[in-house]
Amino acid sequence: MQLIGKLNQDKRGVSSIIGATFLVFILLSGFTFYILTVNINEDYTDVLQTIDQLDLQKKQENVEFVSVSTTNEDKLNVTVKNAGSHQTHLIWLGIFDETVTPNTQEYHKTDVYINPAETLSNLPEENITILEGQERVIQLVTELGNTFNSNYPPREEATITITGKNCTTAHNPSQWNLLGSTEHVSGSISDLANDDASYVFFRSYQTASSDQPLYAHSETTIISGSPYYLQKLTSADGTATSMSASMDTLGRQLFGKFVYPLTGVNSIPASTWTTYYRAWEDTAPSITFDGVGSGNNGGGSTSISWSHTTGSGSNRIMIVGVSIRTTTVSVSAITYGAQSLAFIRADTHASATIRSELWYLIAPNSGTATVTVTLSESSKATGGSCTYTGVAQTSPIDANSGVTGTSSSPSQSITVGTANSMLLGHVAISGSRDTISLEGTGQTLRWDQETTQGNPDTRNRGHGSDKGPVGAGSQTMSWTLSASADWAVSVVAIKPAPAAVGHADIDILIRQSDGTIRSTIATNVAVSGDLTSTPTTLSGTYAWIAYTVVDQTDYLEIDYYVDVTTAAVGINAYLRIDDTTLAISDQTRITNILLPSEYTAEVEFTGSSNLLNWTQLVWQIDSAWDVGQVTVTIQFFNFTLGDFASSGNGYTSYISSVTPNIDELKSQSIDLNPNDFKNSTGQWRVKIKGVKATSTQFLFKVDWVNFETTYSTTGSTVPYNIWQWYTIRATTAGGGPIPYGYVSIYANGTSVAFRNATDKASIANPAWVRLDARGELQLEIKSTTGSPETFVLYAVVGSVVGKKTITQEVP
Amino acid sequence: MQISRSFLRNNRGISEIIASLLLLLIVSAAGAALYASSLSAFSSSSSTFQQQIDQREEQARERFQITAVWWNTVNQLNLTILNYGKIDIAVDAVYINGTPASISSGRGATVGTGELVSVKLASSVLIQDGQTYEIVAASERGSKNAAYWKA
Repeated sequence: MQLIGKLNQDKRGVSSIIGATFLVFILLSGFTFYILTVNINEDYTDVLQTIDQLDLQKKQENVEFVSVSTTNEDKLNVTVKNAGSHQTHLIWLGIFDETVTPNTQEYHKTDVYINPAETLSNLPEENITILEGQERVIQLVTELGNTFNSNYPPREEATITITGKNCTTAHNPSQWNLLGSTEHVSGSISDLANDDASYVFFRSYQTASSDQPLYAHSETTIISGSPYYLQKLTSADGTATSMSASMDTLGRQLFGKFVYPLTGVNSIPASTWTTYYRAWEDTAPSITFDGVGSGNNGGGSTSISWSHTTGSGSNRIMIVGVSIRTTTVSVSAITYGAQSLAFIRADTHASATIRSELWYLIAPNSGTATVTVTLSESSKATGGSCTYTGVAQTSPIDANSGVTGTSSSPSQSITVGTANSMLLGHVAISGSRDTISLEGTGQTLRWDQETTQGNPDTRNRGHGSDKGPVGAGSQTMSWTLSASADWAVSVVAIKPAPAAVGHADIDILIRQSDGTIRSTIATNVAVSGDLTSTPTTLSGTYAWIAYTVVDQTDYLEIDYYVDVTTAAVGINAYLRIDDTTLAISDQTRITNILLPSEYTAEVEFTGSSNLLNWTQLVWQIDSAWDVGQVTVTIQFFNFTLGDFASSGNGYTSYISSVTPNIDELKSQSIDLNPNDFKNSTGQWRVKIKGVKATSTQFLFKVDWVNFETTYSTTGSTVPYNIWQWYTIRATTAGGGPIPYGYVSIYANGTSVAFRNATDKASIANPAWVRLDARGELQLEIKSTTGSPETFVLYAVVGSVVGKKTITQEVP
Repeated sequence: MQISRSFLRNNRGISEIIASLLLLLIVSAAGAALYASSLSAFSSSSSTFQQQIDQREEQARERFQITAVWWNTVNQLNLTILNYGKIDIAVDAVYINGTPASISSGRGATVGTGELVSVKLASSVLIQDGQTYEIVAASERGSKNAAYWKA
């Protein structure tokens, strides 16, 4: 009640109590948070102080290596001294081998405390073997995170370091593989090692054929001492030559033998050849008067004789006419020298006052001889002889006829069967009073003889005339006498020598380079039409059967012939070759021969390299072709792709120089994935292909194939027979260079060579050499021991020795 | 009886008492709520602070050192890292000349105090013989240790 009353009396009292309560809570809470925060900060501060203390101790920690050695048992023995101001706790001992790639590191746990100024030996606690000559870096790791390193063997006051440098090594092919039918001509694999114009020659092979012509040329080549004309793929380019062959006799007469070398020709596929002959023959000569002789026996006798000179023309004939005053007397025989004439006909006048006879002799001998006419009895008689050339030597008498009469105009017709025949008419006249006052049309007087003594009426006259050549058909010979008389006329028509007939053809054979015939492929083929007296382009075809060339030193031989089917003495056939004035279509040639139209040379080179990790590959190929404008492709084998590169790295293509035999150096630097171009054993491959559309086989000349690789290396290993670069660096104890100091270098391998890496000058092993201004020697070494070998490269300056253990890889 | 009389005498007195009681109730409730809220805020703040301090403390206790670097093959390096701090660590990243390297092994492995860890990595920077490189190892807590290494 009192409370209620109190409340009722003072309302602020309750509020104050509530407020005070809250205030107390707030104060308590704030204090609690404050205390908490202070504690956290104090803990954190304690941690920082502790860590800072440790950091400080770490900085003050110092462990010095007193010695690093090995025991007689090759166990590592390290003696260290705590030169710091706090106790040191060694927790790890590391041993590093930086002489191999990759470097090796091994850590051995240890638990050793060293008090300040204390020296402790026989570290590490466990046995660690280090062989004599091995180089190691010894590292001690303290609990505070300090590391202290020392070298074993300990370095002197100065140091010599030998480090392998990123090396570029060049590799050349170790062999080649001939692709397709490419042939090796000359040169050896060693010729590819340098760009020195010492080549390996490869011969291309036929990769395509097309129909081509072979033209007959006038140039010759000698095969086993005998000349042969050449056939070429090019048209006439020389002095026109007319090859001749006599048509005197029947059968095939050789114009000439032509050869085409089969060098580079693998085969000649089947095709139908067409042979074109620019050929002709001599025009058949007409009958031509050659010579005449005549005589009489004066007052009469049993013979008549005279001298006759016969020329040297071909197809000769002698016609003799005899006039006999006594008709009972006839000619018994006529000789010309030793040759006997043959009787043609005799005509006797009906009044028995005059007789005419005609005789002939085929092929009278050239020169002068006596014509002797032997009569059956003694009589006055005259005779005359004519010789002609161009007369048929077989059955030369085309026709003959005769007539007698008494008048002043003797005349006789004759039917001539052969055009261009020659007529010889002999008129025998009784008595000598009447002379021939006029020859018939077209006639030529050849002789006129009369006998002598006695009454002129008892004498007689002989008169010979000829006419021609005349056409076929009826022909007449006539004379006009000074007065009427008894006469007898004998006429003979002699045939001209027939024109020769022949055609051209060929023999085809394969002739070996020693002159012997390998095989006769065809004879008497590609027969043309008959030759005419006008130069004409004749042709014939031949179905060529595929031929595989046995030896590319052989020749394809074409022998051109004229095949005489009708002989004619003195007639020649001709074949025109190498005539630039003729259109190509008129030149002597054979067309549609399937000969090479494309050649290819393709060679793969392979070589070895190394298994290092290349950072760059540079290839260089120097080559030439003995023809211009060969399409060349160079492809290196990409072992990742499993194929030859077809673009980009490892691939290039170009058209060689227009000028033959020009060296062209092609190269490429490959920085991206150069290792793609070697296999797991370090082998590499490159294929070089040259193609040219040509009918002529060509040569590929390779001078240099270089496969240059760059790789990172420590120099602990060297490939066989490869120069590898080392830097020998001499430094003072303070780390500065020892410029221009002399260093003795020596490698104890079986076959180790030195050279200056900069100028490639040879250096003896061992040798004294001078360091450069930086205290360095750039040295290349090469080992060529037949089997893997580990050797040591020594570099000595004063008493300071630098060593590098190097292993030469498998050859 | 006296109260009853008082009530009977003055009707307004009852209303005032009720009003006062209601007012007292409201003020008390509001005060309690405000106090509770404040207490929660302080507690949360305190917890966050504690965590931050703990994190800093852990970082402060974290110490590690690259004790060795060796060249495995081209651009392939091995680091040996010693934890000499007062707390376990885990290597999270390595930078070579400021460029992150690709760690192939050793990343995230817990390394106890006084223990070594080998970290294999591929450098994205071309390693060339004779050149000096800055190699920085970073822990998962963000601590770093730098070393200079001459290839």
